[in-house]
Amino acid sequence: MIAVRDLAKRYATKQGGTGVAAVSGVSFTVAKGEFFTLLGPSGCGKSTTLQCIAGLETPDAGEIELDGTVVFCSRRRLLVPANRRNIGMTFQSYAIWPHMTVFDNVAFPLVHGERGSRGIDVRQRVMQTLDLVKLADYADRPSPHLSGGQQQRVALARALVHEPGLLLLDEPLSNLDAKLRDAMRVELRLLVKSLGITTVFVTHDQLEALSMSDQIALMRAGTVVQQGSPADVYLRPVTAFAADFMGRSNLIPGKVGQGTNGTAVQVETSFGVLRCAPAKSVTAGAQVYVVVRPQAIILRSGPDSAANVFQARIDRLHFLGDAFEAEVRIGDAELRIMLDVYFQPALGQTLWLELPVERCAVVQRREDDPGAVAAAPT
Amino acid sequence: MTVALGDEIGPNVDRGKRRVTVQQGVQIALLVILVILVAGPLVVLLRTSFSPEGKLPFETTVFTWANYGNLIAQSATIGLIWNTLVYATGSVVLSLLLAIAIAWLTERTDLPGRTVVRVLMFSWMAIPPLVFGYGWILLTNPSNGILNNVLKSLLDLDLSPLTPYSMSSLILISGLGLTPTAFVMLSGLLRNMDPLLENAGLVLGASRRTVIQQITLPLLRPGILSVGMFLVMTMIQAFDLPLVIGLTAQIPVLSTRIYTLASPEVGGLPNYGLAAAFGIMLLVMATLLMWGYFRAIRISERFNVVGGKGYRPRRLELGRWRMVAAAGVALYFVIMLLPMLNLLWASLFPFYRVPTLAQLFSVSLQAYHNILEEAVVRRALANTIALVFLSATTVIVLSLLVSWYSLRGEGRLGKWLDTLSFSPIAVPPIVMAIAILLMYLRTPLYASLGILVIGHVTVYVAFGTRSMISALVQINRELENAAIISGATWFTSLRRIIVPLLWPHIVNCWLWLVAHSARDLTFPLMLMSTKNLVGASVIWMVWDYPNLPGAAALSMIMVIGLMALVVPVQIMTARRAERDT
Repeated sequence: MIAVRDLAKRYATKQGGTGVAAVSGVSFTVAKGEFFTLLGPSGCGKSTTLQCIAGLETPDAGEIELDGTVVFCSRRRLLVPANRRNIGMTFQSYAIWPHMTVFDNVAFPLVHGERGSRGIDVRQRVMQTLDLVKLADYADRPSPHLSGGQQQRVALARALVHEPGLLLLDEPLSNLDAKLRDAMRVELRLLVKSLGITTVFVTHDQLEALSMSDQIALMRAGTVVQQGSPADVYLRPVTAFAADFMGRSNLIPGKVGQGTNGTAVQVETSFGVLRCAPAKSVTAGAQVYVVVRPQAIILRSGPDSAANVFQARIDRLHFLGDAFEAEVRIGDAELRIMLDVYFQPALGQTLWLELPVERCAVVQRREDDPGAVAAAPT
Repeated sequence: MTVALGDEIGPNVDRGKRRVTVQQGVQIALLVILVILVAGPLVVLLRTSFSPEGKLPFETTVFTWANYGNLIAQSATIGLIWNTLVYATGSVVLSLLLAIAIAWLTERTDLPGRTVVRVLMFSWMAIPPLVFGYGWILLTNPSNGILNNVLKSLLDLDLSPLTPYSMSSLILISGLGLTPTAFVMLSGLLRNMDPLLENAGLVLGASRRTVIQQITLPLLRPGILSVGMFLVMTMIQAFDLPLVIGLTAQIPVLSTRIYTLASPEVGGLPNYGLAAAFGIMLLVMATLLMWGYFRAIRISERFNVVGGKGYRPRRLELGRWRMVAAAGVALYFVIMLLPMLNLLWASLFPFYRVPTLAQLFSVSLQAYHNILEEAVVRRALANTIALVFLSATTVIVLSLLVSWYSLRGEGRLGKWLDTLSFSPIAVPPIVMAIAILLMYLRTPLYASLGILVIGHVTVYVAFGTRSMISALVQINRELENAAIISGATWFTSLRRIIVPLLWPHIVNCWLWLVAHSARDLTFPLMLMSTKNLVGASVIWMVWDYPNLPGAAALSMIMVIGLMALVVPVQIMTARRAERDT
């Protein structure tokens, strides 16, 4: 449905020169009907990528194909303007036109769109779409008299009314309060899935991305660092950044040992050798992090013959309500783990912990990686 | 989707380059228009200043410094610059003192009638300086001015104590007339000041007097300084009052000198080369001031005292001084209205009579009738309406487009448009007028009404663009993007989204332009012909004729016409402001 190839976009800076790269070499494909998420911290280029797909920004290089039609190609100097791309889009600010009623807002694509909607019963179509977002009773309201959640629905109706082939959502939930956001998250996914419309969603919130998407492209500094299903990206991060951004994790620094083979990787850490899940392109001697999620660590009753079992001492405890978060020490390394609230742990208590082999992911160590959560260079 | 796009792709691929869109086409057209409007005349002016005497810019290939040599050699030049500076600083200091006092009283104290003060001040743009000047001449002329008569009988004098024809009178009258402008600029400054800064001083135990001296004034100083610089720049360019008062008083300033060089008395030949050299000199002075002004603004931004929303500055309770202050402000307005009342009086008699109570019963509209009988006058009034509507509307359209490209456009072209449209701000109208005169002298456009429209569009497009940019910048870009994504063309998004959202602002800006285009005398006089007489130039001619009641009647017609446009909007704005408070 969508194919983005080697997309690049630079922005001019005040100092002149070649400017800064907002996006460089971004490629991905989105299958028909898929809910695809561009995820990343602010300034990672996710919004620029979306604007390029929409046609609101003109890329410097690359190619964009929508539904088998090339809408941008720098090599052939080809550009289909935004108003000819048959897209629906919602904006971070909702962009509801304050001088129009709800009905006029939603009818705009049909009445003023260039794509030609002759022969369509505008009133019927608008009311149908408003029904879809449960706002049919509000049709004649002046749009400034709407709550944030209602404006969000109007924006969605306006994006869907002309039955576009593609729906783009630019941080649609970021301006809603927390409770409404949770409800809309579910509703939004159900709605677009029931319509079967291909959706590209931009967010900086990994929880939204994980709970709503079919596919996630995690972006950083203008490039896609990892793409895959939510579970894939969460459980099998390929970089320390991905591990850190998708949720809390322990990054244990180490060196790949000689015993590495196809079934497991041996990593020498400050507290002993860790056996880890096999990883591509990891060679003996490489400086790496072992990524272990706090929830991945299993409590054991005592020393065990299983691999990766270590003795740990509880240094600090944080009561979170649904769990204890404990900072524990294995040798001179600090790790975070989650403990059952009913377990009643105590400071200074000694525990036996297993770091299950298949839950230990090895990623390359790079200079620009976020600080290792549990690194303890003493 | 494929179907909709099919026709779009074929030709593009074949040609191997992108089609020029409507948006790009309009931008190029705008650039061409602005280059011709703004840069063209200035280039011609510069060329003329290097032409030999008696030659027009297109007639010669000689470059000479003779005009500049002549300018420097003339001993009068120093006097001219001195006069200009004394006049400008004198009137600005006077107007600032008055405006600071009145603005402080209306914005920061419980002065009664604050809304009335604001409406009167903001409506003052309906009074052309020319008309204001004539009113003062009537009031204070030595032979039969009412003020002189009153003072003579009160103080038992033989000679008239007052005259409009002196530097001090010129400064006084200009300063009074400039006060509303200064007020408009300063009241916003005072209104938006964060009261927390002052309250903090009070909480820390300082007295009210100390707070004003140590906190309020230092905070306002950069703002007042930049307003002052802006006003000095305006007054250096001022033309109307130096013309009607300064020429009789034999106090030439740079602007009137350019006029007398370009339009000499009957029998003289215009010296365009020297006029152009003086024009360039005035331009340099104005540009330097402009530069200083922007520096001052940058400094004042460091003192950014505009707070967030949802607060109101604390108002000082004047107590027993309340009535004294109100009387003082009222006195200012009486002084402002006296000359206008005198003009009104003059317009009510076919021949001027010194006002007395007995005469009140013989008032008539005969003077209005007589002057409107003249075909020239009727034509001038029709011309005025055409001029103000055409120039105000053109400026609005140009400004809207330029501001769009400046804020939303891609690449450098938008910034060029912005700079180009803003640069006339440093060009004094009198300089632009002589430059336009030189550029179109040999074309059919010269002597037509069209050349006045060109002149006004050129000088007001800077104001229009600034004003539109400040409004457009507050409109979220996503509102427009949403329209484009919905399938609308660029033009539809402007028409259906941007224009309706900016509408109140457009109306206000348009009215400002109408008022200023109507009251301007510089262009109508510099480019005057029998075909393009307008209100301001015909008043000047009739007064000079001399037909005093006729000039007074025309002045009243013009003032009342402008009032009818300006006052309702100002009252509405003031009401809205009160509601928000």
